[in-house]
Amino acid sequence: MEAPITYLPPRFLSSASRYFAAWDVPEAAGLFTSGVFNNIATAHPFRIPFSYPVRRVFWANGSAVAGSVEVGLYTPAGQQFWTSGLVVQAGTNVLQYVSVDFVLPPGTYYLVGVGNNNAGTFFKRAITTLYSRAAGVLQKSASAPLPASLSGFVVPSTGEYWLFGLTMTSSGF
Amino acid sequence: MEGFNAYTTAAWPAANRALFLPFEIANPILVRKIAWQNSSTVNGNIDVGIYDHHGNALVTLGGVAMAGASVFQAGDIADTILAQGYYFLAFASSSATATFVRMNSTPIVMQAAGCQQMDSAYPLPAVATFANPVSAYHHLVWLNGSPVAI
Repeated sequence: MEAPITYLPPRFLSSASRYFAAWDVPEAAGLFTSGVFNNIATAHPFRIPFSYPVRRVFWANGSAVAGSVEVGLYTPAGQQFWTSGLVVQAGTNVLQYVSVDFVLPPGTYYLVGVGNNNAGTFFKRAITTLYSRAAGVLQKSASAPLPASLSGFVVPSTGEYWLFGLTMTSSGF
Repeated sequence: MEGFNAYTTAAWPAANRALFLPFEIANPILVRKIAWQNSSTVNGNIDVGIYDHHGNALVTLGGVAMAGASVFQAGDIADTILAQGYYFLAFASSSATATFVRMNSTPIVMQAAGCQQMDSAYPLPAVATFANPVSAYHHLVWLNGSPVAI
């Protein structure tokens, strides 16, 4: 009998890590680059086989900042159980953090992000409808502040895949 | 980690810069060597090492001349047992013209993966002073070792 697989949670659980369903967007989609929010909320499914102590949530600001950003966590059924609330976007080409302190049990979740304007930028990749459907990425326009549920979120026709995530670190980086 | 393109060759981003790539060990291993992939331009010296997540060196090679174009080169470090935990795999080059196999990306993607850097870090120091990466450079480097029971 083989020994059970042991997981050690990564210090950074980003949307570019293997725990996110669409983490391996084909390279043809291009690298993460700075682009405008378009006032679209995007829900990124991820699954963790371990409990994860979340000390900060982060996203990657692009070359111009404007307005506010909100990130939230949702159950697989689409119910919101944590949100940062709208946070003024600050700092270009940096990770922006929101400090929190809770533990995510093993399971499947959505990490959702939205910017409340069409001028602020963040790092994102393009994602096709087909790949969004396969990975379970959902979007909805004009969704700031984030709603209590993902009702009305649909597979996007021209998807945007955020660079953001969770970390167990409380400082640095 | 995604958000990088395919492995290609490029010069080390700055002389004496060290890059620190994070990794986690779920089960203890005994590390004997650290290897990397040289590319076509061989120049200067290399240092490699393993740091804890606070930036303390657990083991470093101490520096070796880069040798051999387009070959794997391995540094024979002191045998080191890594227990379950979080570490950085450190790599420093004294030369900004030496080339290695690496993936391109944007520095913020590396930051989102937990990568760090330090300048004036050849040879690798006993304690690293971490800074966020400014180089779009994720080099090919790996540990050679075997599982151990503790």
